[in-house]
Amino acid sequence: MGKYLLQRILFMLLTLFIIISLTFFLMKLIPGSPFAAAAKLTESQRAIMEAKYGLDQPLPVQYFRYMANVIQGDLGVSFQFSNTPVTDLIAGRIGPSAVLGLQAMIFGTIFGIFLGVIGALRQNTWIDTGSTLVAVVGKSIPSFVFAALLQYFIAVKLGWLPVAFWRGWEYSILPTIALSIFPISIAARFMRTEMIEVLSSDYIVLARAKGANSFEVAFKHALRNALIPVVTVLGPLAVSLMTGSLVVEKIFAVPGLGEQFVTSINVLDYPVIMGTTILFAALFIFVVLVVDVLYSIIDPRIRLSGGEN
Amino acid sequence: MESILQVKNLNISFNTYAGEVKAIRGVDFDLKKGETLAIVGESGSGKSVTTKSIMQLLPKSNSEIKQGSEILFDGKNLVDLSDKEMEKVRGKDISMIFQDPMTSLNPTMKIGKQIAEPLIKHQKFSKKQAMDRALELLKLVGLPQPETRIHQYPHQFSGGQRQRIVIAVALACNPKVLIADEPTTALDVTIQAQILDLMKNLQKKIDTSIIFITHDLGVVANVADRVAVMYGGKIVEVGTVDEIFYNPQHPYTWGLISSMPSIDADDDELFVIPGSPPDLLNPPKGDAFALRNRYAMAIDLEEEPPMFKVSDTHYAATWLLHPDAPKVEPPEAVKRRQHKFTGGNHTEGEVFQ
Repeated sequence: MGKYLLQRILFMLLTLFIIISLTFFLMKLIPGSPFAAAAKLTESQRAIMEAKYGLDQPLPVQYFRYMANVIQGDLGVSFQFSNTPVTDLIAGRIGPSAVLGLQAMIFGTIFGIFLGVIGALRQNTWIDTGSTLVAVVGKSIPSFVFAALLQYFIAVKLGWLPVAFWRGWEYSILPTIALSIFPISIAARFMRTEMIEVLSSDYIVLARAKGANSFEVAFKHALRNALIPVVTVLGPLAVSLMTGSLVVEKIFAVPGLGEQFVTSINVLDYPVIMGTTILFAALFIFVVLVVDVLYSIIDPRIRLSGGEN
Repeated sequence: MESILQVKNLNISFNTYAGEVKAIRGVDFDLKKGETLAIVGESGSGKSVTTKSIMQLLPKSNSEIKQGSEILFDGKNLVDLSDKEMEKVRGKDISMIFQDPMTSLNPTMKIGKQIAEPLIKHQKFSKKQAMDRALELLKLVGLPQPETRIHQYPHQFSGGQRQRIVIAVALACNPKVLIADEPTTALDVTIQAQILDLMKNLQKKIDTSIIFITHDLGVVANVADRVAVMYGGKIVEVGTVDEIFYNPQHPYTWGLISSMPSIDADDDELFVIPGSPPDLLNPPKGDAFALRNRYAMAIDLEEEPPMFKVSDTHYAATWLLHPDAPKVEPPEAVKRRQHKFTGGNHTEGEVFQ
């Protein structure tokens, strides 16, 4: 296991390196200059600014300088927010995104798995139809529609929860619900399909032949086996939720990462684009590792081992 | 001998999109205390459905056990029991071994826990007690190094070992009836013999009655005391193992026995029963076997034969046993066997219902 993890981490670093390099050159392909928008600058002033940030150097030089800094943990300073270090910018923004994403993930998967399981256990009844309906609606209607509906009915009409902003836990409830609709529907669909398949397998018949009741059959025997494929889809989903849904963050005026990312691309704030990309990529790679480790915990047939053995 | 399980007038249908499939059409048999009853027949003859119905394991959504069907066990009609009541019977009084040991154990649960489960549920054992007993059971079924292997997962065992584990699960609560649904079909021949020996030994040790489903007549000769031959959802012949092997009466049984390869026979060709099993969506009017039967008579197409008594233990449902039926010559392989038969053969033409 230790050898396996070490090997995996080395590969993760390699993957990250490739992602950073690719993003760096792709980003430079975008035409324009970070200082072009600031129209008040004269030609010579802009040249001074670009020289200050090293943008006048040839691309390979810029690349190696950047990489050298990244290895030392320095992600540079932002162009748009008056020289604030990128790490500080991300640190200031990641909190709300992570809280929202984590809450949406936990609530979404648990509720989704629950919906899928009862749908499978009561196959072809109104409960099953209801669970399928929730899943289909959740997957086909975009989250910003839910966000607007939640704001209108729960916050404005009923006044139970605040409409927007980020001033305490109760402010996170509505965006969490809006954000969790998607994981709910994904988890419910996958869980139902897997559960139905597992419930028709021989070992479930044997479990029933041992005298297990339907609760024991579903939760002691079937659930763990049905979870294995579900974990695969939930891993990457978790990253996309944790790194923030731009639209939901925007609607609820949550100061998260997603919003910052898009603004930075628009104004070509290179260090912030790179920094956020590195964070997303690192998180994604990490979650893939976590999913693999989870597999081996859920399914004893999968043993993590290094190399060919 | 005392009967432990009686099946009376069992009728089961499956509701499919095409219509009602009458899979079991009036099956009667009883299982005597301590005996092994083999149920033989080709695929689709209703062997597995019959035994699954004893365990009430048929899917409720599309199967239906008809009114008037009785499965009497311990003074109760299992057909009438609620789910809760049935859970107390399953795994405790009646347990089951399945065909494919590779898929019948839960892949994500240690085998010790799988054996201990019915003990905790039915015998109210503590976890510790149940694991101790599971260890004993593993020793009983002859699994090597049970102390370490009890903590392993199913994928770490071979097919034969897994079947031993499944047997340990089935025997955990000393069931009164053990249903073995083709327990050796998925195993290779040497392992088959080991598993059959194991089952025979354990049957004596824990004094249980076995219903053994198979389509392998070699296995039947090895394990059974009595044999019931099923065809098209009915039992067509029932008798002791000697009666069925050496004095079969039903043309279908003749076909089965003739199609058994034998080392000492000098036949050039192996006999096959022509045609395919009957369509139980529209069961034939008369004898379901009539169309594949070269001894069929006009009445076979018109009316189903009743059970005729051959001896006190031997019954067969064929019009050939009717006193007015013409004498026919059974196939060669059957005649050779009949010469060796020492029991009485006095067809009385008596109708048994």
